[in-house]
Amino acid sequence: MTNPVLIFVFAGLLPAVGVVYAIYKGKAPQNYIFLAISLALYYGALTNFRYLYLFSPRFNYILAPIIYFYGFNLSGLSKFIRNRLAQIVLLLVIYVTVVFFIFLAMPGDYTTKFLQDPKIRQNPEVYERMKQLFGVDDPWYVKYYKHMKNFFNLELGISFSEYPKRVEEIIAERLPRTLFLFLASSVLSFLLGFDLGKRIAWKRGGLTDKMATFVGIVFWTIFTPFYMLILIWLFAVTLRLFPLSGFITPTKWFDAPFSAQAVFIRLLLTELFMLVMWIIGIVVAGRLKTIRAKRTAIWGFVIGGAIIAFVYWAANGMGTYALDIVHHLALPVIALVTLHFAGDMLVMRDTMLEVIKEDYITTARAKGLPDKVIRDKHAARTALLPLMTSFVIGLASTVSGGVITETMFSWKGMGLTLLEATTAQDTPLAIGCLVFTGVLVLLAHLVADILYAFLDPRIRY
Amino acid sequence: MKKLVLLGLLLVGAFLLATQVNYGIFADITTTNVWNLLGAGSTSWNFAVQIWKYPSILGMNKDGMLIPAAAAEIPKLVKEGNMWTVTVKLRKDMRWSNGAPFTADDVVFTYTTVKELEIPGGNWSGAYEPEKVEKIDQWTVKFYFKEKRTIRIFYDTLMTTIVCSNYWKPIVEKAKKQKDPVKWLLAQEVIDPGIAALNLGKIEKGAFAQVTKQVSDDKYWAFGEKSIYYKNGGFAIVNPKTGFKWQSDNPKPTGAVDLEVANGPFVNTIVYKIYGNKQVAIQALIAGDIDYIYNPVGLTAGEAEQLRGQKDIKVVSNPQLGFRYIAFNMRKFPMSVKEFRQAIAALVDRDFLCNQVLKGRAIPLATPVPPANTFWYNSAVKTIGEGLSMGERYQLAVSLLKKAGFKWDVEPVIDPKDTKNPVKTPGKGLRGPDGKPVPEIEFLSPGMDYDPMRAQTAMYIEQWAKNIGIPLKLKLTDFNEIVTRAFEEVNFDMYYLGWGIGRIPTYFRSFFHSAEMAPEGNNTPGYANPEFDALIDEFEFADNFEQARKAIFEAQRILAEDLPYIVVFTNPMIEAYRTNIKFPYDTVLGGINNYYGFPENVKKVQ
Repeated sequence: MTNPVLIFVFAGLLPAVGVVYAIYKGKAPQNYIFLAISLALYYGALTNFRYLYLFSPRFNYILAPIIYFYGFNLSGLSKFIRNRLAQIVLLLVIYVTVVFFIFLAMPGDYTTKFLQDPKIRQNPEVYERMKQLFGVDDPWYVKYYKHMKNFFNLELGISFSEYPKRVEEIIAERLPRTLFLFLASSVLSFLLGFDLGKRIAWKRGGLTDKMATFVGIVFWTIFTPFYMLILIWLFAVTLRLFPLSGFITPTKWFDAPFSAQAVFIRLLLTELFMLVMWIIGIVVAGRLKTIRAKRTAIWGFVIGGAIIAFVYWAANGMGTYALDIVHHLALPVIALVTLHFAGDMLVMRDTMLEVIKEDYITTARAKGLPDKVIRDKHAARTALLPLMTSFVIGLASTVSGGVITETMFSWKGMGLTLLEATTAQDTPLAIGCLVFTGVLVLLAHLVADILYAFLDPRIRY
Repeated sequence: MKKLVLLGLLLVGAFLLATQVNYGIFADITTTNVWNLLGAGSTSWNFAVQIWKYPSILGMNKDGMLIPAAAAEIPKLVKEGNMWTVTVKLRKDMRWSNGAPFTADDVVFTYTTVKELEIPGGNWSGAYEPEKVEKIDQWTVKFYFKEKRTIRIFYDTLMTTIVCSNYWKPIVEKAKKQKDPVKWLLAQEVIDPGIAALNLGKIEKGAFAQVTKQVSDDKYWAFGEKSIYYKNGGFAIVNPKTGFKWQSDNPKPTGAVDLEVANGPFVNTIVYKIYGNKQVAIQALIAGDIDYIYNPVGLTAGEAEQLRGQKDIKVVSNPQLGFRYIAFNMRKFPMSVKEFRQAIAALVDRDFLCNQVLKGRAIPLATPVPPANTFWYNSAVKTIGEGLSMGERYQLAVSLLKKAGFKWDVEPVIDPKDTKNPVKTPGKGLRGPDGKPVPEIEFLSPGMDYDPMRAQTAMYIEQWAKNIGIPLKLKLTDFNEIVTRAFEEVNFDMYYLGWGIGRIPTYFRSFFHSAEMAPEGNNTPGYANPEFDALIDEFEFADNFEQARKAIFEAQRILAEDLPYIVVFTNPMIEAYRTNIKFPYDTVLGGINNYYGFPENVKKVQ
């Protein structure tokens, strides 16, 4: 950092504000100790003073703020978030270590396959150079040091199977595809499962309940690769409604002036934008009185979002390419939604069945509230909690993709990458994928906990 | 009206010219950098899409004959002082796709760069062999070698990929200035010029790789070049455009022509679509989304059945470059006794196993060289018991064991005339020549889940051995257990595995030479025969290919008698393609995939 303004802000102003605030808020001796540690870590990283960081200065930037918040007394949700963040960091270190040793315990290494090449056997020095290139001949503690150093440096190393590509680059390439597919299918199956679940629970024992439960269980238990092959055969080979596999039609992309990756990122952002619009719609609807007004608000925001998205795609010159991707998305989404909605539906149904026995539901009925209001406003909101937890955590684990789905639909995302990396003993890539997923799952737990506090007024941290 | 007709004709013409074929592959292209491609990035998929665009000095035709590729003729290995040299005259008519002529500079640059930068990779190992590579003139290069390793020089060093110096020189010079030149060089993802008209076009990771025509037919030096196969085994190359001609010496091409292959390319684009699953690729082939499935392991018998009878799909089966074998641990009794191994070999009725048990899905083999590898295969080698009935095989096995001094507590009684049940009294209590009981012999084979062919045939072999009192105990186990016990621990009695092999039997040294003992080498049986070793040395250091061939022929004969391995069978390479495309030939050792789907020869049938 050579810019004097930046030096003033980051080395002077920011820590000074932090110290003043901490001294103002925290009075106990331990508060001062934490403040001192966080300052030491922060300045250690800033000045690159190697005795003040474990493996890498970058990691200090994560540790310092967490420790800083121990510098004064917090309460309620903020205390909970601070403690959870500290736990997450500790858990991550343990997780990364465990993942490393699991891979270390696997027999052989990536270069073992080259030993099957008689040409390499004839030239042992060539093999030695290969081992040096990948660093697989290092002793385990050197490998562990490098691995942890990379991790604390927020780097994931270089892939063996796609040498010399960085693991981050590979993840950045595959992640948007996986997220786009699984976000769409997760949200759709959540909505379908939630809606059907609350309806069939409300009219439990009826024909709809029996039919939906039966169909749901059939899809829930079906052998996934077989089901996906049937879908491919029916919709792609026989009816020719959807493309057979992959995510683009090659001939349409020969002259495309951009990569599919660029379109994927924009599509993912559009998907997130639509999600945000829908959530805003729900928040606005929560402030309105009548069901009709609520519905109008939600649909208004969703349709408004769709119009904005349409205009954006019509104007950016990528519209037809995006349509090609969406066309390819249809079949895997149908497969995933039909396979997964049942899980959400059954959870919702069971929770609703418990909730509708509660006294406050009886009170609501006694007050003469309409059935729909009791179902949607009183029962479904409470029953939503476990479903929401599983949805948020499930959403985070979607970054690991679905090995079967990605394999069957040739949708090369994170799942297929992890599988191939593991079987090829591409340790950096496999560990990178696992660590990345682990971080997101841990963060998702945090988000789920925070969401609980918002959704259920009874919960206080 | 005339204008309309003309426009119509132009459109039809454009449609006919803009031909595209689609191949299915199963993994992404991980690198387009040739230095990496032949090293860490040497995957089948990377090779399928690009390796064919690079030249080498020598090559092989479909029958395995050594032919000139970038050379104008087959050079000679001669002694000069204390060195062995090869002077190569290059073709003068070849041009890179960027328009630069192919010259001695390209050859010298490639070999010296690999050696100077120490670029790693098995496929570059041939480039390490010469002590020096020298440019004599624009189209002549001289190689200097310390040793007369004839086979390695001709089939490895002179078959090394050559890159375009005109394109790579500045990049390599820049690499040399970096902290780690090799890492920097390998990280350069570029699409370099090839010697072919087709080259990589658009690559969409995870979706497809496109190969397009980048040199027009009239400017492409190899367009229309003919490879002519004669019925007498002779071979000729004729390029009507540049006037280049070459023909084989032994035999000289005379008489009728068996096959004539013209070089294209005849398509404008080849799209390699990436599939995550073979079943989906098969569906894509049926639906017409792809024209050919490129897969180095081919299709299974079940998958082939699924495709047979489908409209417009042709299923082809070819012998594979590989074999399944039973190895004996010759360090241990009784596997150390030659007659014992011969007795087991006599019991292994390959024809029965392949035709009856495996229902014709495997091809019986007699030697580690497949018969389709005609130049190196010794057809005179017979397996022990060949042509005998099962009863006669039992008799032969018993007599071989007796000859070595083995005895039984209850000697087996065989009636060879009874074809259904020739073993009247099964043998019991086999004892060695020292009178001690033969210990139980563990026979390791992969299980049904890994390889049903080996598992099934192993069960028959165990039963046949037991019938005459050989205490063979089959253990169907995990593939990794067999590999670990055979290659790392060298702790086994007998095992049943397979090898994928190259066309040139250089693997004889690796598998059977006494200097290659496991665990350091691949000689797992512990076979040590000075006569055999001498033949392998003779093969590798031969003065000419005829001498090398004779040595390998004799080595095959010795192996069939000494039996460190019982070579049992090879399974065919089954492939499928749509009949709207045409390959120059589809019956060839190793299958169509061995030629990467003939990118420069494939035609679209209109």
